[in-house]
Amino acid sequence: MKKILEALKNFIKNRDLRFGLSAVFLTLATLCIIWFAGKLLSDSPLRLDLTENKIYSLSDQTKRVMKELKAEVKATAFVRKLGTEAKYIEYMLTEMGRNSKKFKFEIIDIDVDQVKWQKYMIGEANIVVFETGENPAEAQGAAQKDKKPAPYKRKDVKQQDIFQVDPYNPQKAEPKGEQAFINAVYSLTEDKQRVVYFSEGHKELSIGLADRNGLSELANYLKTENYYIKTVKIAAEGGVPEDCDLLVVAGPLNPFFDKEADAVKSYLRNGGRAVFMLNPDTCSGLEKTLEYWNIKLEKGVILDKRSFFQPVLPIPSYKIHPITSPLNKDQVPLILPYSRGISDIKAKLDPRVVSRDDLLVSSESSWAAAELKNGEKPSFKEGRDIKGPLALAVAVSEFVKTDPKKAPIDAEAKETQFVVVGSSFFISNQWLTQSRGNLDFFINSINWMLKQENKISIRPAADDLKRLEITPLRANIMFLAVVVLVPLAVISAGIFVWLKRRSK
Amino acid sequence: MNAIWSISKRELRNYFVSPIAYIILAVFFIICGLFGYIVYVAKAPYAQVIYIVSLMTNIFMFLSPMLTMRLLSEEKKQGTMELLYTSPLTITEIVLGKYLGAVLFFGVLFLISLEFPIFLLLYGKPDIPVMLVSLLGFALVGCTLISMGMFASSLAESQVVSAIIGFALVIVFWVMEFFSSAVSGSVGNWLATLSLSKHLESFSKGVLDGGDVFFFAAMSFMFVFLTIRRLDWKRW
Repeated sequence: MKKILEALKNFIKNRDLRFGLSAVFLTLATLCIIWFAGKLLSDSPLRLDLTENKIYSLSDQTKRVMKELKAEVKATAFVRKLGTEAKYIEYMLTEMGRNSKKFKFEIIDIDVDQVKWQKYMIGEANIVVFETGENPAEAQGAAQKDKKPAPYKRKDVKQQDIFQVDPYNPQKAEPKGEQAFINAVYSLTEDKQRVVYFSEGHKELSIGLADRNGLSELANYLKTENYYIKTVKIAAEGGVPEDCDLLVVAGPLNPFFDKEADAVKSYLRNGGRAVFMLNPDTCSGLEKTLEYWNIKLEKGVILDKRSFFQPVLPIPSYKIHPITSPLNKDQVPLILPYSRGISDIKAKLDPRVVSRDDLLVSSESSWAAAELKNGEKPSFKEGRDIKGPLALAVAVSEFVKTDPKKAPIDAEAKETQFVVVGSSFFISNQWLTQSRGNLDFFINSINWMLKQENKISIRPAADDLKRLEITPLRANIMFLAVVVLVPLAVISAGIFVWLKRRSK
Repeated sequence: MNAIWSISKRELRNYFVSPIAYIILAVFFIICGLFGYIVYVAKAPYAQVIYIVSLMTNIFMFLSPMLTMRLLSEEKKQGTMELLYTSPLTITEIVLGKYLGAVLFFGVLFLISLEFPIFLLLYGKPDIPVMLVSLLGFALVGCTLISMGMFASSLAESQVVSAIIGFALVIVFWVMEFFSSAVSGSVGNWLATLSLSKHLESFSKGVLDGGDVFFFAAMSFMFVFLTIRRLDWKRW
């Protein structure tokens, strides 16, 4: 025993061991300092994005939303840590965290922390869960607390919302996490949940239907955008409900009664917001109502011979408007199946402050076909059909004066805004997922009317790759310089020095 | 300061009279030249300096232990370390002088490697600030790798053993992010923050981050400091 103690004593006194231990201690202490200092510096503004388009910086819009965060928001990213997607997600969340003390995030590697992954009931990788308030599953004793817990809200941002895959090159995915993440944060921290009513009772497309003609996909998406979805039978309710922030009329097959149309007009005249999607060859009963705003719904189906798909599936072009500008910028395709044209009545209107903007326009090669017979090859007939281009969607704004004697735009004036689209099928389950532009157009329209522009346009960052101008001669010069001359010069210098030293 | 400068000049001269410097430079520029040419002419003809900077960084990671293995091991093996200990020079001056000598050699390598950015400027319109930041990243990681190699050289008498230790050290810090993915929670995050490759990411994107500059400066400082402590310990 004495010998063992002696050996142990000698071992402890061993200089190398003591150096080793002190070196390990010093190294760990220094690494901790590096980590701590790095942590401090990561929150500091000592960061310069020197890229030309500032592609690694958040847009001013995002920074503003983050700085004005009212509630604590936590993001949990479920990723495979070594993937490039994980790096991008972590980068974006770190940038968002830099701009707000109220934003915290955690990166969970799903291959390591399976317990947490399962707790959140996430089925796939690269999902970011945004949460605010107290999770009822975690706060079991919350009821006993004096303080009422903040309402819990959660929004999941999936991989397809973070990366937009190029349809022509599935290997290439454009990151657009900034928009997806900021929309998630924005929808969680909104004070008031907006109520969107879908009209019923006229054989409209139904939000309850999950088949190809239903609107269940759209309804689910609107819920994730923090909209409260309801349905309304205007005749039964005696008008448009008071809590309605936006009314959606999605392709009625049966006409609205006159009283219903009057109720809709009255709602709009009082600063109402609506989206009317009215299909060709149907009578919605709202035609007269829309005439009040100088809108005429043309008869006949829009056909386009040059459509990439079929003539009845025109791909309209975007006009300049806050709703369409982000889509136009990224050239996101939109398919408007089985649609009708929209034009002006050209009647003289009362002098009112009305603006009417075309949003979508059919191509030069399109026309509104008065007749569409099965099996017949579609062709334009002068005198019978209307030659394109025709507007397929329009946006209307009007400041409704409270007092006719006041200036055209007074502080108390109510603003009516609505969008008319010549088709309802583009938002059906069948078409909503066919083209990303369909959903974006509808969502942007709603966000524009409800003054949710923050949700509309977060510009996607694009890396501007500049090509080298390499001719065969330039390639040869480069080869000669970098592959031959420089290594040869180094080797020659080495041989020269070696020979010189040998001769000494 | 004069002593540090004198030692560094002697070290730099030693590099260029030994074949190892030329072997390192030749291997570095043959690989970089060949792959750089293939990348810019055939694979990705874009004015992006990051392609060649990533390649240069990875190759230098493997070559740096060879560059630094003789810094202190040779002195020990030849018995000249005792002479240095008994000289009026302090250990700090000796270590800093040797470190500066190796960094100057890296500076020569860095200057020659500017041939690639020059070609990019001649043949295209690269984003110059991005290019400068990427090159700064390469310079900083080069200095850090040299400090690691020098510390490894202070641990062994054999140059080969020093090179192996140095290489192991570099690899550990390089793939720290990979190790961190196997550890969950704050320990995993802490390990990830010590990864050399992770801190290089922002440089490669053209983002100058104060935290990353600090990381490389602090890592270099730490290994130089540990080398001083090691020699100080051996001295007495």
